[in-house]
Amino acid sequence: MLGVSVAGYLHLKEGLPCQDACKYLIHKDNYGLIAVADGLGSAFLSHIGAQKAVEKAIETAIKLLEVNNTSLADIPIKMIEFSRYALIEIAEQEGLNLSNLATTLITVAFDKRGIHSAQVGDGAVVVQINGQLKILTCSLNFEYVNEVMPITTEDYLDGLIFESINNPVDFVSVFTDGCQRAALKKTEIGYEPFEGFFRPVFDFATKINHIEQANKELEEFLMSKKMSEYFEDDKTLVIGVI
Amino acid sequence: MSVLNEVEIANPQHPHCATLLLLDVSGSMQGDKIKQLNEGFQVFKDDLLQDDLARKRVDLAIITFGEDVKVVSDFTSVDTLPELNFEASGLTPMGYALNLAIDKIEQRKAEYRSKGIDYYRPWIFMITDGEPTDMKPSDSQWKALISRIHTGEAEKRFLFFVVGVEPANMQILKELTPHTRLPLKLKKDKFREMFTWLSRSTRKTSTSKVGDVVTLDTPTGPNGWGEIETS
Repeated sequence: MLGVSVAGYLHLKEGLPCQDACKYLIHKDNYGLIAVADGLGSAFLSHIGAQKAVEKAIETAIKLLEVNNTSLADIPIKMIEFSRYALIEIAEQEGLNLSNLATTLITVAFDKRGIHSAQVGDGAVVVQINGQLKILTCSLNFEYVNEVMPITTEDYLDGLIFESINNPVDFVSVFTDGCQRAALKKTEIGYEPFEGFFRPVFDFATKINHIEQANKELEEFLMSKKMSEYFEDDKTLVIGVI
Repeated sequence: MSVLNEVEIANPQHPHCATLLLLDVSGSMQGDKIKQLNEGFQVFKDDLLQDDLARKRVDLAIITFGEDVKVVSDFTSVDTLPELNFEASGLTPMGYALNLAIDKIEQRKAEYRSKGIDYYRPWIFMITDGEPTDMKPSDSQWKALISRIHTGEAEKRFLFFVVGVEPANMQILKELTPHTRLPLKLKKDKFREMFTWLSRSTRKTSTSKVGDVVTLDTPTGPNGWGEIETS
């Protein structure tokens, strides 16, 4: 797996921190775990909310995998729930409003047999299965471009999406809204994965020799003119070759 | 050379921010008011032209109502906006103009959707110094229009702003607007300040990102251009 979060050019121009965060790992050579968060621009500590959310999500998944009989399919939703509890705890401890830490969250757990994802808010999970691209989960289709539902709202469950594929997949890609309009084609009935984006990205992921170098290249790509010209937001892209 | 250079972009286009100006150019606007409206509009246009992102994202349409109801410029970027000079004459067919404005907004959103273009919630910004002459407050047509505006606002189809210029009938304008956004009365000779506020607000909206709450500068107060009539 590889992946990075980078600040969008408006945040760089304004001296603001990157409000996206990601964390991912392979656990015990068997399980792939990914968490990707996008802190809301309107929340002044959303970069902290996003970072804490991905850390807690991965920590939760590792703990659950230690417990016998935990179904992999149950893990992504638990990752979101426990991340939300962690943010509530931080807000209480620091005397903050929970909304100050507002962030979206996408969580993924996979192994050789299948993949499961859950998400609240923008961004998407795209997989390649039998050579075909497929959206596993994707943001709700709000009418306006600046609408979103974070995990910090009381009615976050209304925006919770969960999907599973109980078959082996070849690739997985998880990304925030900063990449969404580059990676997904918007049609009148919803989104569909864009071949022109994913083919080179997955091809790149299969040819990696040094992960650090690959992440550096990925970072340069996300900050490139091509990716920034139309999308000024922070960007996160995590790719897994399964 | 990295294979990432071969990546293509699914939607190589900016999100659009539709803004429709609905301007009263009836006979009562003649003289200093129409002169200030023209000057203020130029300030608005120049201000938007200075913002690179707003130039690419703001999609502007202008409808006037006076001698007739006219789409003087259909939705276009500020770069391609024609030179405009408003002249005042005729009555105030505000009701017809408002219905046309809402139709135009709905039509534009449908175009965005069909082309896969992301967009912000559109604005309708009306400036008037009078009251409708094509509909009466007791008319079923007028009531239907009020309902259309209030429903459109409640369902977040658009944002509706009204500015009354002396001697506008503020009571009638109050009926038109949703209770959460009362009409503002323009302070004397403040057209330029109002248009500066409008361009700043449009720029702010057009550069807002997912999850941003756009806070507009308050137009009222000692240094503002507008006031709210509470009576």
